[in-house]
Amino acid sequence: MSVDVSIIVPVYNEEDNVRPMYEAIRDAVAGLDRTVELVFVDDGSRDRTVERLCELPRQGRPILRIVKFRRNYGQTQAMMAGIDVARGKVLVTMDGDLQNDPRDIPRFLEQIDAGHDLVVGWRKDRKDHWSRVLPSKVANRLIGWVTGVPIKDNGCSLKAYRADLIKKIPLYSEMHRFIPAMSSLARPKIAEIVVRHHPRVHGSSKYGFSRIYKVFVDLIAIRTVLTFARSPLLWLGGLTLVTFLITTLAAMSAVVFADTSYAGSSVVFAGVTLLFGALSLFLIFLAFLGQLIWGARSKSLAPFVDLAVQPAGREVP
Amino acid sequence: MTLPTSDVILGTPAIPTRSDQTSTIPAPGQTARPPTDLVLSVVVPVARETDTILTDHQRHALALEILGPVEFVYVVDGHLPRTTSALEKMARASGGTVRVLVFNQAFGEAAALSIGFKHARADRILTLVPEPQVDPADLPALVRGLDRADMVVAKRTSGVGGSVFGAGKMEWVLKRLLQSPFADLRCRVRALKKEVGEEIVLYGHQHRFFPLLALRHGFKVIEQTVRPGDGLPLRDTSAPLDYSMILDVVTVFFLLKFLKKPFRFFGGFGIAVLALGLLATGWLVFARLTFGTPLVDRPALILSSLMVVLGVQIIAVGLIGEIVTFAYTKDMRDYRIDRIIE
Repeated sequence: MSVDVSIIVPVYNEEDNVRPMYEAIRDAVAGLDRTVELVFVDDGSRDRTVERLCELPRQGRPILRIVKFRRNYGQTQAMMAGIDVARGKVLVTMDGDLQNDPRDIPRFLEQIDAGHDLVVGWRKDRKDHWSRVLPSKVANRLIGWVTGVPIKDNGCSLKAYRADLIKKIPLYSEMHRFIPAMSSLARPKIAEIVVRHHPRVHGSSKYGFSRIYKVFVDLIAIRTVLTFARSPLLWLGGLTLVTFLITTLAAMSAVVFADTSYAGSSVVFAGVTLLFGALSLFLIFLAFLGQLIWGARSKSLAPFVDLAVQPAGREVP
Repeated sequence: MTLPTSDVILGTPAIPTRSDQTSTIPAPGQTARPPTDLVLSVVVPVARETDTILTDHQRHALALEILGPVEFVYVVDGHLPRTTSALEKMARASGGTVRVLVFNQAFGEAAALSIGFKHARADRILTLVPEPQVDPADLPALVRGLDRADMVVAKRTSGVGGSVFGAGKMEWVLKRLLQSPFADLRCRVRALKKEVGEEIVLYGHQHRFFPLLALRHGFKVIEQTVRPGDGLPLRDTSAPLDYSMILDVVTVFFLLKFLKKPFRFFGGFGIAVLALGLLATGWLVFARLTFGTPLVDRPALILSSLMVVLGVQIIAVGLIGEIVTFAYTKDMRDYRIDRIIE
């Protein structure tokens, strides 16, 4: 049986939200002329979420699939499992906490049909406390600036993807927030649409305030990986250039001061020259080490690197 | 991207079949017995010769009888001829409920436990030591605690016969260092579900921190107060050993926490050092230009430059770590699916 659309919903301790969620999605996709499957991924919930999921009607539309984890692995892993298990040609991901509105799903599908590879939601009018909204705004600016994919709301889980694109994108640690950034290698056609957003009714939010720092370091990591995928040796190039420049400056100062009344400074600058010269060498060799690691794994990285070589196109049926 | 192979999807653990287990490790006295009706596997690593092993076994077996059919897996860690022959005799007489695995060398308690978990046929496992660390009468309650959690750790009330007094040093350090909630890690009596044993590979000294590891892996671990048994205090109470174990546990937690995101670790340190170095250098240059504070005859500029260099190095190494992680990330699908309900 071929499935057209898979809706992936990771849930973690959402016993009160499961049934309303199911009903909302069922009603939202009832009018669609496609086969829809609904994949719930239970991320090792401690409450009665799985029991509630099993109580849902198994027959009829949409096709219901429940993936149960052994224990809590985190949202990215849950998302990944959902993406791996899903059989649809278009994948839609959303949060399990009813803050996204499933009635937006048909609009996402329209955008995919219009030729976009990736459709992201934008919670223009967020119903959260400012202490969540503000860090998120800063983070989105940062993400857009660093990755060159200016999306206004990376944190919105409601997204739709063409399956053959998203299945190529590697996700690890807490990368689900950066899917658009990670896919940027393929230069996908991204559409952004405003979605409805509801305040939380049941359960509690699972995010803290320390996210800015995490987002920041994760971003540097992602930038590294993305640059590396395009041209491995150029990767530390910028940094090496800067350190080399400092080396040259210090060396010049050392020479210039050598015969003046500042001869003492000359020694200090010679020391600085040595330090930064050593650093430049270190960085160059590190870049080669990176190249070595990358080369050793080139076979398994091929699908990802392919994204850069062979951007997201699609076959016309 | 190819879909992961079906064994990942179904979460089937990579456990060797019983036939190749017996070929790698001699298991005298093992007779075929359908594993279906077993409710509990008791894993007992034996690391030194004891004369009381038979009486201890009887006490434990008697206490656990009320739970239903129980199997005992003794793992003899090293060359212990007297104990091995006693266990062997017992295994032959038991009709399959007692199995003995003998290592040809001492591999350590962690290895013994891991092998014991692999051979356990029941869904629930209880780990014991040959000495009565815990009053056997409290063991069934400990196992029943698994209804509420994935792992139940015994916590001995201090005083009578136990070894809690004076031994809380390690727990104290772990509590400060890693927010360990456990009060009695010295007690090796722990009940766990089989999947905990399957998923956490123990090596080195890690059996001591087993509950902590399970907790960090996302399993639910509870402590249950038990009465101490009348056994001798455990032998490994020397301080140097304790601190080497702390190193061990720091390694483990580094791996657990940063294996998939090395840059969160390196980046934090590197950026801090780099920022400090840049600030110091900036200040020195500023002071030289405006106040004319000389840079000669003091190492200030060299030190601040050194800090910048160090910061950049830490960051660069962290980025390499990230490249390594990423290069291997395709194999890093670490979720295990319990089941798919369709």
